[in-house]
Amino acid sequence: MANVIIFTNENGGVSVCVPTGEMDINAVKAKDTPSHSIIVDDSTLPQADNDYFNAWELTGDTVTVNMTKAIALQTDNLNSIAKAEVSHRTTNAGIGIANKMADADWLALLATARTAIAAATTTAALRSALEPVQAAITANA
Amino acid sequence: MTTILNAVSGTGLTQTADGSGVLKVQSNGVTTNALAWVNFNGTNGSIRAAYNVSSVTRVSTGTYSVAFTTATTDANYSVSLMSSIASAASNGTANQLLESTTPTTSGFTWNNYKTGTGVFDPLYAHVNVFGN
Repeated sequence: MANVIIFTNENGGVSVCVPTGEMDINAVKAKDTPSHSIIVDDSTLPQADNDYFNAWELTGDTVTVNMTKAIALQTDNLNSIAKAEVSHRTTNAGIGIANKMADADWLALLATARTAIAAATTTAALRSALEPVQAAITANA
Repeated sequence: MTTILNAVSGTGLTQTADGSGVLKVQSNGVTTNALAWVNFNGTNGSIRAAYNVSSVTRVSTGTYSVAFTTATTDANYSVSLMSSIASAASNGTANQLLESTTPTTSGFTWNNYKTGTGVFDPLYAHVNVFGN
């Protein structure tokens, strides 16, 4: 484990400054980060939720995942991959290739995922909510 | 401050040395070696190797700042960036310097962008900086 410097950035998120070792960490803290930054062991960070890094929040010396922000991020993820898949499905239809899933079923799958994301109380639930959509996209590749 | 070895036309090799540990190899006063470089893991910021870089800050997903240990002479350096992608299907990838955060003699900020899904954290992020 290593010490890193963290601080709440101007967007309300958490920035993590990792020293390279060329300078003492306290010198790096003074030179490269704001005065309100703090030094913590990186094992205390929610690394398992790195994919929700933009939802990290710093309170005192503890970083947690803000679920409201995480839900918004996962909703954006869903919309992004759904838009790409809609383009793929449209292309398939245009060149006479049948999509593996009917349009109505695809839309129902998206609606179910959207509902599950909105209701999620953990990041694990957020990931699970997206899995059926990702599986359908993989199957239709 | 730096140690400078300068190959000058008609003169030969000149040397100005100090104890900074920073070396510039020059040709007629133009620096030819890297001012700084770093290889790090973009998913957690951990540093694999670096030269003249004091820190890498993960600002937000896919967005990073590099800070130089010894400041550059000016902010007109040239930056080369390269990041890894998870698979060949992850095409449309770009490394972008952010004009909203102008490069300075202390460092610069950039992001990794992928068409369709936006900014992302690469497993391998490579940065090279050349300039005077």
